[in-house]
Amino acid sequence: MTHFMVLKIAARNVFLHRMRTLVVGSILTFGAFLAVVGHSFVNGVSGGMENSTTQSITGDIQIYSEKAKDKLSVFGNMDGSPVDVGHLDSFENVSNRLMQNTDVAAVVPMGTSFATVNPGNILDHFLETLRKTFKDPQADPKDLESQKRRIRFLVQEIKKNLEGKFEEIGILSAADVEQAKINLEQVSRDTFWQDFNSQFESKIEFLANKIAPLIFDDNMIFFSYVGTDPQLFQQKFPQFEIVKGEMIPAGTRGFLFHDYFYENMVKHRIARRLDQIKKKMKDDKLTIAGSKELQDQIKANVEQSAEIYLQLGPVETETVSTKLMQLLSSQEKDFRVLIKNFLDMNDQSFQTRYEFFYKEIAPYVVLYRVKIGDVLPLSAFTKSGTSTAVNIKVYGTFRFKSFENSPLAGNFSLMDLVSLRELYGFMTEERRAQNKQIEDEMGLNDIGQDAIENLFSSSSGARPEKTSAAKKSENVELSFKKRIMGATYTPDELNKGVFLHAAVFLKDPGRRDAVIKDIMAISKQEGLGIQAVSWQDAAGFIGQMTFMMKAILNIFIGIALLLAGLMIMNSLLMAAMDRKQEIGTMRAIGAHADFIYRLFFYETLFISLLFGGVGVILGSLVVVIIGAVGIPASGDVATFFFSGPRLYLHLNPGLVFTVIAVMVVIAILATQYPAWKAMKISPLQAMQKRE
Amino acid sequence: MQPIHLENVKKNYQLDKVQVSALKGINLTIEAGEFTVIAGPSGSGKTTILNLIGCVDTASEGKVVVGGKETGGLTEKQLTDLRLHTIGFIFQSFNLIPVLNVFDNVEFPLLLQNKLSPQDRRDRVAKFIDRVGLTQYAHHRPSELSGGQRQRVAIARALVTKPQIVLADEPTANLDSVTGQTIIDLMKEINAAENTTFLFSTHDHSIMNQARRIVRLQDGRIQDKA
Repeated sequence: MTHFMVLKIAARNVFLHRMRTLVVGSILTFGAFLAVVGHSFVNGVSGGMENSTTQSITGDIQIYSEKAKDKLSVFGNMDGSPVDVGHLDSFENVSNRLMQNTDVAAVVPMGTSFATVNPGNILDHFLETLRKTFKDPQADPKDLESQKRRIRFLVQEIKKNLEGKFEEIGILSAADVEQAKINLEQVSRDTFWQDFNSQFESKIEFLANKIAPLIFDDNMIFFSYVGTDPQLFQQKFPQFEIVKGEMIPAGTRGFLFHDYFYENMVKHRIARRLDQIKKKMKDDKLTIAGSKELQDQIKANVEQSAEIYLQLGPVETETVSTKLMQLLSSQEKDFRVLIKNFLDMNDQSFQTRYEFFYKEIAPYVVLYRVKIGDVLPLSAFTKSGTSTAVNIKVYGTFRFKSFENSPLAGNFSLMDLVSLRELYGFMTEERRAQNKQIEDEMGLNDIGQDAIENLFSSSSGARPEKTSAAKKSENVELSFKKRIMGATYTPDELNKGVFLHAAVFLKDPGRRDAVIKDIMAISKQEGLGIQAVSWQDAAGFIGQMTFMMKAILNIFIGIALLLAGLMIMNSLLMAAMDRKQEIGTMRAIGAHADFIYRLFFYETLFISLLFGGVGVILGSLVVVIIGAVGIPASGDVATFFFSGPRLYLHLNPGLVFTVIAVMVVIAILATQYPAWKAMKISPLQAMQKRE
Repeated sequence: MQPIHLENVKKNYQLDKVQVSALKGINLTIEAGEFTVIAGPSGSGKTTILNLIGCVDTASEGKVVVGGKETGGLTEKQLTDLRLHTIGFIFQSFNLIPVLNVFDNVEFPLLLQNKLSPQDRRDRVAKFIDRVGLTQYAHHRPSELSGGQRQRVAIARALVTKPQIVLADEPTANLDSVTGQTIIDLMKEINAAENTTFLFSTHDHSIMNQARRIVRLQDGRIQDKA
């Protein structure tokens, strides 16, 4: 019965001290609001990151060698360096064993690493086209001449650009500069071009080797890739879809760019910027006049206008020039100035000029540095630091549905596992056989079972007598670089060979931790040599990011609640001192000390639940409203964290419950000291006389 | 059984570094149903005696028996229960709980006792509020009442549990003489009707003279027993 009385007194005290209650209450409301909204937000982000990670690369669990030197981190280290996770010998063995576990739905073999491709600059590109035209018996001689004129024009441009600037560039030695000047002079003369057709092979070779390198333009494409069984990958990552080109045919070596990467890193820079500006204007309602970001992109386009005019031959320049003069109503004769003026767009002119670009200019420039169907010379550093290269055909681009814009899901391009092994430094059966043949011819011993670099790595230091053989074998290796390996592989070759890690999909992702334990136990028992980690661990610093976000958020919430707790404590302490006589009276009349404790506790509980409840309700409302509308991702960073164009929030009843529980805990904690002080108030206080 | 029995009770206080003897050996027995006044100048030890009998303070020496229980050996909890079930307090400054209305204030000790059914409790509270003539103020807060009315609420609160002993420390000191007289009349009336033992302190002579028995205190000692 006394509970009701205690509540009544507590509630009335709360109302009696309205100011104090309001101040403490608003901090509590803020804390609860922040907790609900913040956690829903972070959960939304981490859910998005989880989906875009697990459904694009990691699966629910990743397995890799238990002997790995580094921890698996599929996105590499924070500084961008790759990790060494060792390798596992036979995918088939591991996969078969894991599939016996009833929780496991699928296992997809993988290897993730970095590679570069240098698709050649614009001159290389023109020369390659020209070479093809020469070799084509049906080629139109007029086209041939036009192409030659374009190259000659480009050579003039290079010469003009470099005049007096060699020293500024400073990459070449003095001797090389002299030679380069002579070479440029030579290809500018009519004599060089007179007998071009009869000696096209050597002339093209000369231009490619001596002149093309003088275009000092950073053309290297650097990317992450995953080597896998493409068919299995497509099947087990259900969001996977081909955007451009076609899927790598089964049993065929091949490469797919991620469409996000292809659009952002491979596309002509000016075209890409125009696309981005258009997207931002449409999606985020930005204007060029109002956005520094868009202004910067326009400026960058103007500065890099050479990327257009250097790619146009004399005929195209003439055509585009005429149309540009019309479009811009300009009498400007200098094409470069025209292009610059054209690229200097504003909100009014953007749409027309964007369309003009794609209609009139794009057909003449290299819109993508790598075209679907090209054979790419991919190079990479093997784990011991030697360089390897494979030539591989680009079949198309892919993306993951609903994560189209997620840079996280778009991190990896894709190739077959057999090519990965080669690029990563493992010998394929085919290459091993070829090596054997060469070794036999050269009278060398067998130089290794797994990888050539085993000979160079420190672990094989026990075989110093092989050093000379190793050196020679390196030469052997080099002779393979330009060779396109067999374009096909057998299922056995794929499945029985080496892999670096694998994605494990579960029937119920909620059983993740249990299955990780199971896999570890099985591996120990049966000597599979694998370890299993959750997708978060496998995602490395990306996986930790949501953890960090939660930690930071909790620190903020913690500070707000700590502050509220301290204020509650302080005000209760003051109340205890103010109400000495009242408390003493209650004690004298016969109230036990625990009654006084309850009086204080209920007062705090009342405030905490009332204001915490208001915060929770407000927060929930905001979450539900935002949940329906979604927060638009503006900027690349937001897109990254939201894993999509919009973030939708969900209200988690568990969260609401937790926040309320935390409020109760705060009430309990904040009450302890003041209540203890109040309990110590003697009933003698009641006898204090006040006149 | 005598509700109050004091035997050679001494009480010393430590005031800063000086030892103060408030009571210097008190022997006092009060019979059931007595209406006794403790009289004496300020500092004579009136309040100290009431505090010891009221179980809100303990003696330095001697024996204090309240309601048949020797208080010296009781724990804090037992003392509290003794206060709750045996004693009713009336304070000089009324000491009502400011956030509760008249009814709630009177009900308060009954709730602590938790002995009656809700219906009985309400009836008892109503009866005592009626007894002190405040029925129409039952839902007023103490701040809305006059001093005399407040002290009547305090009397109702002290009596509502039907205690053996009612202690009142200068109950009229904060009241004008007319109001003070009506309060004393009320206490006498209840004393006569319920045979409740009343013990109160005062230095007001007009009130002293109405008591059946006066215990005069001087400098921590009882001077005589009238």
